[in-house]
Amino acid sequence: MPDIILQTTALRRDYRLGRANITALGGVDLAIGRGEFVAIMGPSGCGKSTLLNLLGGLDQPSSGAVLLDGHNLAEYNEEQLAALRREKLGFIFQRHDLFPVLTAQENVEFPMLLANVPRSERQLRAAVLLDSVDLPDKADHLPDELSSGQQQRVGIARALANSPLILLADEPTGNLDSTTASEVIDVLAALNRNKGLTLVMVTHDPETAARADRILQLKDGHLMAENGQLK
Amino acid sequence: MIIVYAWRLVTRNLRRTTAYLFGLTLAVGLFAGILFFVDATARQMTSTAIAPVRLDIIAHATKPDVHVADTVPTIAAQRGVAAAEPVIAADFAAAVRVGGTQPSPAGRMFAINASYFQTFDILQISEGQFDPAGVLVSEAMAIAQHLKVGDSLQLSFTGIDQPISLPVTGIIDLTNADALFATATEAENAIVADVVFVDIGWFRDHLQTPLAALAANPPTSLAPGAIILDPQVHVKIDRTLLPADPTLAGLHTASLRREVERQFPGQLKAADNLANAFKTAAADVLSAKILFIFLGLPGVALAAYLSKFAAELFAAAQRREISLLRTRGATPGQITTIVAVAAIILAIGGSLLGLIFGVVSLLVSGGAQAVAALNPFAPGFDWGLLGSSMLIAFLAGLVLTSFAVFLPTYSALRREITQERRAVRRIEAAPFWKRIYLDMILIAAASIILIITQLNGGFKPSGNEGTVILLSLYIFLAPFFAWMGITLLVLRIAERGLTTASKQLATLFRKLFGEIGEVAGKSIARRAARVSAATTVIALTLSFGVSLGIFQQTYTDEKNLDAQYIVGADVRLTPALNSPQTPDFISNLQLPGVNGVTAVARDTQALVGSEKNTVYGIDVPSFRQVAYLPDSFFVDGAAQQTIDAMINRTTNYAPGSAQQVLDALAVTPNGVIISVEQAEKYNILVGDPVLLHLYNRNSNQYTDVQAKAVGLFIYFPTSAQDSDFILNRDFMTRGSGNPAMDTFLLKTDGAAATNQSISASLAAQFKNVLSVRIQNTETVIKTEESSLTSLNLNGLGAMERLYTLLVISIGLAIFLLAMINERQREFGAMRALGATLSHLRRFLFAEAATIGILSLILGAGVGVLLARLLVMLLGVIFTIPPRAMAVPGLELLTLALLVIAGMTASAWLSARQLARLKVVEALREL
Repeated sequence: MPDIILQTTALRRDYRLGRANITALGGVDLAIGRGEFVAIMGPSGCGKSTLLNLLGGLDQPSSGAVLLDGHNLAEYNEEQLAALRREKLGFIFQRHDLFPVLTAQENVEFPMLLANVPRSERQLRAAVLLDSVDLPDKADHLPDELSSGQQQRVGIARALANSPLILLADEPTGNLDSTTASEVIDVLAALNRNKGLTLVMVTHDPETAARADRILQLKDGHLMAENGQLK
Repeated sequence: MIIVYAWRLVTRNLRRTTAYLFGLTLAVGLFAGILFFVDATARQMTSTAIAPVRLDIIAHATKPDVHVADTVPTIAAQRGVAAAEPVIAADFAAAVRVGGTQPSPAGRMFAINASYFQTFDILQISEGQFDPAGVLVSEAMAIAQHLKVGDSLQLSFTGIDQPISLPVTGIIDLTNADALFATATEAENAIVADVVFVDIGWFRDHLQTPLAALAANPPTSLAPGAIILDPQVHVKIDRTLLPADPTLAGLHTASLRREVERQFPGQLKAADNLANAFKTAAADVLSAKILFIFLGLPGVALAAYLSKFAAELFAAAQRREISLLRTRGATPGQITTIVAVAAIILAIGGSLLGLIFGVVSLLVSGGAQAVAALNPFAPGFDWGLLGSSMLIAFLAGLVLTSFAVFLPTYSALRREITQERRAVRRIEAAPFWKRIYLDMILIAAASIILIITQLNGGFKPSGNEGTVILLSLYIFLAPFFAWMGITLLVLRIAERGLTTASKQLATLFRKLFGEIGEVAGKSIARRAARVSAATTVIALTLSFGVSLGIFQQTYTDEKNLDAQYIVGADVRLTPALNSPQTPDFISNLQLPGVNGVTAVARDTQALVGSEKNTVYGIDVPSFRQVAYLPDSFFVDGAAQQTIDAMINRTTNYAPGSAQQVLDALAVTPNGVIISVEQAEKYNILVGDPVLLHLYNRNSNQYTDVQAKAVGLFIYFPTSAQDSDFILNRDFMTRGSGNPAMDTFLLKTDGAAATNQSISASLAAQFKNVLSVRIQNTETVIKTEESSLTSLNLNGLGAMERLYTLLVISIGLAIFLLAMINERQREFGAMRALGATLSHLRRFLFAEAATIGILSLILGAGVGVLLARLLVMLLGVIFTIPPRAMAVPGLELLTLALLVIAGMTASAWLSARQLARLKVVEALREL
């Protein structure tokens, strides 16, 4: 793998639940190349979301390391991580988590606003992004006025706002019907294919995962298989 | 088992329980504090009400031959009685100075012991001394008979042939002795001017036997009742043992009175002189309760709302717990019972904490008066009063809990049960009040009540001095409804403004808080309903604090103005009747701290037609410099409006000015200004001639003077009810031929301490030199104002300010924490998308600032409006209706600064809470 953009070494995450020690991730080694589309699969509670949170710097590992574009996230403080997420990562959530009081356009502008992008450029880029997810006429709609699929597409446009290196998607089709889910995956696959965007997607749906270049299987916090081959 | 589950529901989530208890504790605490404050003031009100009563119980013998001296030891030993004195009253037919020619009319002799002067504070010897072998004569009699100490007085009694001669050993001041003339049967005291006092031993030896024989078998030649012999026992009760509650105190003295009669059945019939004072005090305490509870009611309602607001914060968690119980097989009935028991536990806890908070806040803010009133070891401590207040506050806590905690939870539970469990999304529908236009309804109701009140005579004094003031509940409804209605209306407009000004708000906030401010501005505009809910609570609380601050200041000012009105100025000195002083006496009163003095003549015997009226004579230049003369005391007598009002017997007089009326009097030597009441009675208009018959006390002669009406007044200083005609002093003294002044009014800087100090200096200056009576505004507040107008509201004000501060600060904190709690996912998503803590903090501060500033503006505006309405209520209580609101600027500024500090602290604490937000947990699927 010539150009690794995201890498984990012996990544471990333990939680304390009362007196018990729960291991969510038990030492995961992983390398994702630039422009790759990777799907992470596994049963509920296997550690998929935990892995994604650690990859995005939203959570701190108990041990091991995450290297993003060659930088060890453990060396970053909270505010630096925030800046990193703002500039290099795009997040897509299962429940889209759009801000209900902002319009589609304003939701897409939000990450750019955090990055101090000038207003005119923000507006222009947001319009282009909404166009790219096929929602040019929904710019002034509040999230409640959009369908689930449309909301998720606005979420994708928002994730792309600051031209991230990597897009991290946590069950992006989990709340959608199959037709809408397929449309959303089409959008993501096109971004990966046409723009070379690195895409890491957590899903429990084999059909959705099948669209990825690589499928990683997690079980009980351990990486068990890659593309169906046991590790 | 149900109790165990309910207990766990309460104890498992301590944050939720704390939030519930906070509102309940504040609500019950404020309510209990108000009740305790009333209890604390009840003692003060009782003592103020009975202060003018100087003779507590008079027991009259049922037959003239009862030996009252024998009954005294038994009565004095009775528990609750401080002292008892035997007194015998007998009417004489005539008295004349030996060597004099003009006998007095019939008068009264009182036979007393020397100890009477120490036991009762009603007789002041202004000259000479009490001697068992002599007689003391009243000032009026001394003047009429030209009696001096050393003269001999000859007294004649009906049925006794031989007159009795006694040396005059002193002159006595009967200013405070009206109670001596109380009769066993009549309500009014039959005051007699010619009065003498002799030793009771001398009376027994010389007069009792023949008078008793005559009274028992009056000669047929005499008219019935011609022989008056009235043996009495005067009883002084131990006032320290009186219960604080005037009704109970009344029962206590009534029981003492009955006990006196029971000990000597058929011999004594006792009259309780305190009964009326207790009745007045009981009515005043009731009025004070109504006043204080209405003043505090908005605060209690707000605290209850805050509790409900806090309850909503944890609604989701509660729903989860209830769902869990259902999945474990609990029936709807069992769940309802568990919720009810949990609410009862919370109610008991909140009410108990509230009682403690009420006591503590009153002790902290109420000062010595509150500490003394709540001290269970103090003599006469009233457990019943405290117990009943506690019970009322406790029951109020149960009711509040029912409304604020149980009913919302119960209705949520019913929905849950009927709709089955499903994700409940908060639907931001317009609140209930907005949908039913409650603001308009309340304003309309307030307006209707105001109009009805005005049509019924308006907010004017209910009667003369001494009349019981009865505050009806309904007049408080106007301010209360207006308070709610105006606030809700302003909020409706503000909410509309916020929504429509979304773009401008975003631009403003971007300038103030950076780029994230733009999002905050849009968020506020699109969540205007939610923001307005928090703003409602805080603005209403602030308006509550502002209005009470203004009300309290105006009340205090009014109390002092009423006192100034009664005194006439800051200090009043009245020489004894038998030591008349001319205006030159002013030179003796120019003490340091005295800024002006004026001498006032008074004639209480003057005749207009055949009726007695009181005529004053003033020196206009010095009087207007010294006396309290607001324009509201005067009417424009020449205006057609006043003439119409007088003809139609309404009070719709044209407003006049002090300058106009006094100028007219000053330039018209024979001018007279007249009370509108008398002008109406005698059909006198400005410009009309007025014939007055002035009385010269020295010569016992009446002189006719022709005056000219130059102005009208409603109130005139120095007298609450008997100033009828005011003349120029020189004109009056020349006309009557009597140069004696009645009173001297002194102007100071108005401070209570100065007035007390000057009064003390004057008392020391004239001690053993001249008999004088000295009054100042402070003594009048303590003894002559009604118990309802002499209250010290400082403790109540401080307690309510503390409450305002707590509700605003913690209310904002609850709102901000609720906002964080409700929008955890939003804030989590913001963090995931790269927002720094600084971004989130600025976002939070933008919302807090909006609520804070909006609340401050609305609260201050509504507070002032409400204060205006509350001040109108004072018109019912005080003699002089308040002209304007007194704004305690420094106090309100301090309150505003404390509120801003409290809000800042709340926002800062909430920001700290936000900093602890775990992004992963916030975004986790429930």
